[in-house]
Amino acid sequence: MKRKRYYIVRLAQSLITLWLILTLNFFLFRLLPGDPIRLLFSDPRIPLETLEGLRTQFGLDGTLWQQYGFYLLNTLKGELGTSFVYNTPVSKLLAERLVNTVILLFPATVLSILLGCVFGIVAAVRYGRASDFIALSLSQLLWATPAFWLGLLFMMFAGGLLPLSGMVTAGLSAPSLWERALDLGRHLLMPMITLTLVMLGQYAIVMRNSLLDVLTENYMLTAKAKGLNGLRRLFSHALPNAVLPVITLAAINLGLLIGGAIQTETVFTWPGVGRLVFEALLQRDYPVLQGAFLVISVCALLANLAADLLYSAVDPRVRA
Amino acid sequence: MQRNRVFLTTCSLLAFLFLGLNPALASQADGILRIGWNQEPRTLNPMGYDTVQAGTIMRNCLYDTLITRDENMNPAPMLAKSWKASDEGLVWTFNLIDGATWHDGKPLTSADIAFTFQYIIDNQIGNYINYLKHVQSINAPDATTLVLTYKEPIASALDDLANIYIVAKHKWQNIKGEEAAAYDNQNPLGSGPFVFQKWRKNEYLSFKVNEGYWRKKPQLKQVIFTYFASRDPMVMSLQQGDIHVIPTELTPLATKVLAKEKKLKVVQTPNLYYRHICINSSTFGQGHPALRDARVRRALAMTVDKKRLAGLIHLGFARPGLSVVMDGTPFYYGDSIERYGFNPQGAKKLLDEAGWKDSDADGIRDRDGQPLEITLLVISRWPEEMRAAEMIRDWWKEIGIKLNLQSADGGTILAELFPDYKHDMYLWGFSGQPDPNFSVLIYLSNQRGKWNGAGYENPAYDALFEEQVRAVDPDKRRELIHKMQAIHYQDSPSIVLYYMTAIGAYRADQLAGFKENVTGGLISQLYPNGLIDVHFK
Repeated sequence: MKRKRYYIVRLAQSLITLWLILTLNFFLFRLLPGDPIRLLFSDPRIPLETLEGLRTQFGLDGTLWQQYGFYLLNTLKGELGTSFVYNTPVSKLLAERLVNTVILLFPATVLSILLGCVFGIVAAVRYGRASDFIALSLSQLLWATPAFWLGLLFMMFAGGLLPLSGMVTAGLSAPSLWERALDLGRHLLMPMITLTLVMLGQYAIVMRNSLLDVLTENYMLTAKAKGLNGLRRLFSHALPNAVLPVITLAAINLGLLIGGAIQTETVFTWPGVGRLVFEALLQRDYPVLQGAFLVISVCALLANLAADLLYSAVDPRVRA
Repeated sequence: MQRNRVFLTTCSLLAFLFLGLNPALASQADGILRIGWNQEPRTLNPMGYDTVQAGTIMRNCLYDTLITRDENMNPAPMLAKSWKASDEGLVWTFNLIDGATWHDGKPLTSADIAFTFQYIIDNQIGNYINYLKHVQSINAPDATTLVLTYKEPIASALDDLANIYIVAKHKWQNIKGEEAAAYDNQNPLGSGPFVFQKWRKNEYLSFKVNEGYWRKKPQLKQVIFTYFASRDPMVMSLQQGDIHVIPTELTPLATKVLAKEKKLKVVQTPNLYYRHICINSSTFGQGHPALRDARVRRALAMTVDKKRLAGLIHLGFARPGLSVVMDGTPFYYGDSIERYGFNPQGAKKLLDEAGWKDSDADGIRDRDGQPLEITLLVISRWPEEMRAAEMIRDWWKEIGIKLNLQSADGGTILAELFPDYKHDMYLWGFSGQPDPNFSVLIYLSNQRGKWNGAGYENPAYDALFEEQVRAVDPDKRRELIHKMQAIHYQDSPSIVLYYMTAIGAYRADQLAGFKENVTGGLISQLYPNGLIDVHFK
């Protein structure tokens, strides 16, 4: 009963947050200096009447509140508007870019969590020894490394073995499915490794510190006293408790990363959401920005909701 | 042991498959030319394009023009094989070639050309209207003859026509004039040497050869423009062979590195492009009032050491700027105008004269209690220009002017400019044409709110412009254009910092046939034959 109520409350909270996001999203971009129509058709030779016509075409001629009303209504209908720059529906554009981003992010996230946890566990178990020191300093170093710099470093050392930009090689003559997959794989390898390494550090550090805390708990002593061996103590007593902060971190990251892999996407010219947002920002492409921020916010919201629900499954204290 | 070996073999096989199969290397045999660039066009609509990149593609791949330019930027035949002007210079008769076709196979005739010109005039197409402003009537008496009648003789008539891309009547007659500028033209129908294939925005743009091209058929089978979101990977891709050419966008630093590589050829060409500081001279805007005084502006211009800037900021791959007409068009370039050079002492005198003195001895000049403190907006995309601005700030400090620097993206700067002229000054680029008209036009008073970001107004300058438009005698026109440059130089609504060099590079070990001396880079928006003779060795 309590559990059900907890879910309902969380869901309601999420909906309110969503509305706040929508509203903020709308007004935020209108505060930016720069008229999108002027910017898009920066050629001063275009007559004023044409500009006004375009303003009407893109729905920029009404009052702010009218625009806000339209925006809420359309968003609920799933219509995110038409990009000023690409002249395509934002939903289509975002869906395409989201797939590209997920192709890059999913393997990188999974790998970085797995490797990060392994690093963290090794460091915590061998606390104070050389391997702890190495794992910890390596993690800190990676965490502090800018993705673009690491990416460039990889490019220098890949020395002609892998392509340096994009997702596909353009102009392949009639590639088979296998060739296309291979091509994608070759393009994916470097950005994926870069992103994995950059993200790995924080998981390792959080895992290590959280595990260290848990290892000093009384129930660990009890487990030892019961005569359980080291591995059993680690996997069935320590880890389930220590992993909670890692879930939180992963959830926060997931939301952020959808739009936040900009550095990696820029260095490798990966056509993901991050770059779309960055370029839309430079060109005041309001519909794309709004759409993208909405998607990113919803992703963050969902990830947090999922984390909370997962928490309540893993940690009974949360429900109580 | 056994398991280990199996594991190792599998790994090396996978590695071989993954790394060894490099599709890009195969392109040499395929005849696919891969071009790298940092900026994509926004649109390929000839009636609404606004980037050098779009112009480059239209010129070299998609479209033909009535007449064009040769390697020295002189008028050359294209769709018109010959032409003749009447004695008074009012009626121009063009003899067209026979047998040109559109990419869809339909014939390209005088009707298409007449339609294009009429469409531009009827709908006041902003991209081109200035080129046809003086045309009275357009006639196509038969399929291979076109007659243009002008209201008065116009000096730039031929070069103007080289700017207009001819569009297909059977396509464009269905597009309403008021929608022309914003039309997205997703499947451009042209008549040029390459046919549009596919555009994945922010990834690549590809063209295949036009097998039935009416002029000389190119030797390449396919041309692919690959977009790079950052510069260094683009340069590395050229080094490792994923792309074959970077037409114009190399940085000076990359140039120094690439010049050492034997398999590459680095090519420097003059570019009709300069960077300048545009000063808000308007009497109606919200800029610092001191800037309305030409003496103050001249003092600022006198205190910029352009030679040092060109050397330090662009490592010598730029020439110190002088006037608004560039040295890339030597005939009209105002090298004869009287110069003040780098002269801080003279600048101080001018400022004293204008009444700006340091009355409170705080190191900053003032008048009526208002300090001479101004703000320069610099495009954030150009970090090197921020360094230039910092040097300028130090020079100006010496003559008692406080300069604040502000980095902003292009959109923010434009919003400061139009319509209210809120800015003091901004650092911007300007891309000119072989004919000097456009370079001098941007300071006309009727261009305020359009091209004239300085808000400058000078009736004498305006009058000279109208006079040179009609000066059919080149020497006479040259004299007038020089006078305009001298006025601009003295009044300094802008400070021309440097004329830029276009630096490109290509794989000389694999390719030949690039035109290396053309204004505007290896593949230029001014010259149509950049790709025609390019072939793999």
